[in-house]
Amino acid sequence: MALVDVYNNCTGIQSTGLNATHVLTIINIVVNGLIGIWLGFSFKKNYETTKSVKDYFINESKQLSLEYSEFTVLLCSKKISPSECLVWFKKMTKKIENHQSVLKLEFILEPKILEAHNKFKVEFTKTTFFNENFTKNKLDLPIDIQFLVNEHLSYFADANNKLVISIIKCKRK
Amino acid sequence: MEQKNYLRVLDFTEYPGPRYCEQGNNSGEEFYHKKLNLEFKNALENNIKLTVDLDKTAGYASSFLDEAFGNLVFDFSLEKVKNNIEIISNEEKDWITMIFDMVMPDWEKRRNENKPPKKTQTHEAWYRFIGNTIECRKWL
Repeated sequence: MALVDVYNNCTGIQSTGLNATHVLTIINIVVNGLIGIWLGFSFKKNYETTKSVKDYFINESKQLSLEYSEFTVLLCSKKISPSECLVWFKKMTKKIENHQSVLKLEFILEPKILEAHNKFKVEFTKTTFFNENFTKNKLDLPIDIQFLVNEHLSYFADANNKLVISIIKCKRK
Repeated sequence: MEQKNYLRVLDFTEYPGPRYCEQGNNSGEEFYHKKLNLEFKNALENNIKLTVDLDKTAGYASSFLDEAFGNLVFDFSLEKVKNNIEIISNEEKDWITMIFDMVMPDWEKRRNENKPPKKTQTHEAWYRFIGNTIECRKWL
């Protein structure tokens, strides 16, 4: 006796008019439904996790932008010495490098903020103005150097904005 | 060439300064004349590599590194320097790229064009690779 007949006999399905095909169809629907619910929950969980991770990195990027702006304000308002600039550049290099490397572990993207930062560091600290005023307590930037600083601030902001957009759009590894 | 000599900038100063001696203390020019030139000459004579460690200082101006490693290329040639030096900079890795890709080629060009570096202070005699020998004298 086939397994389906045994099942039919036990459950009395024959008397209700349901045959084995109906039973298999019902089982199929139930199983598919359960898989659907499971997939839905996992997708939602994955989506929420990815969103949280993305939000975290976006906030970090915003924080870097803020620190950059604060530094340029200090720089342009004669409140910082050349030695303090070097300490700030080094601190930011470490922060940005760390931010980029962790981002690359999580997402498929190519951030360019470290490149922008390093360019600023090299260009600014090689100027004759920076070196000639190295012993000063506060830097008083002439117009051309202020222009250079603002230009690099824009490069950094641009690279950082592009990074934020990439984080929003990209897939998680 | 497995054996290495080791030079830490931190042993020279925690606070590297500007490009020239006349611009401030612990300059690139001073570091070159007090440390790097002699250490590199010793490594070259003993046919071993010189490892220069840039880490643990307060931070560098690019001009400090340009002056120090640029003078080295000017006095010993790009080939000698590239083959006999190793630079460690775990805290700011970009300095290694800058030194090898920008500073050294620029100063090799300057060496070929015979444009001597500016000296803002009188230095003790220093070493230079000329022909096939290393000579020591006050070059400028």
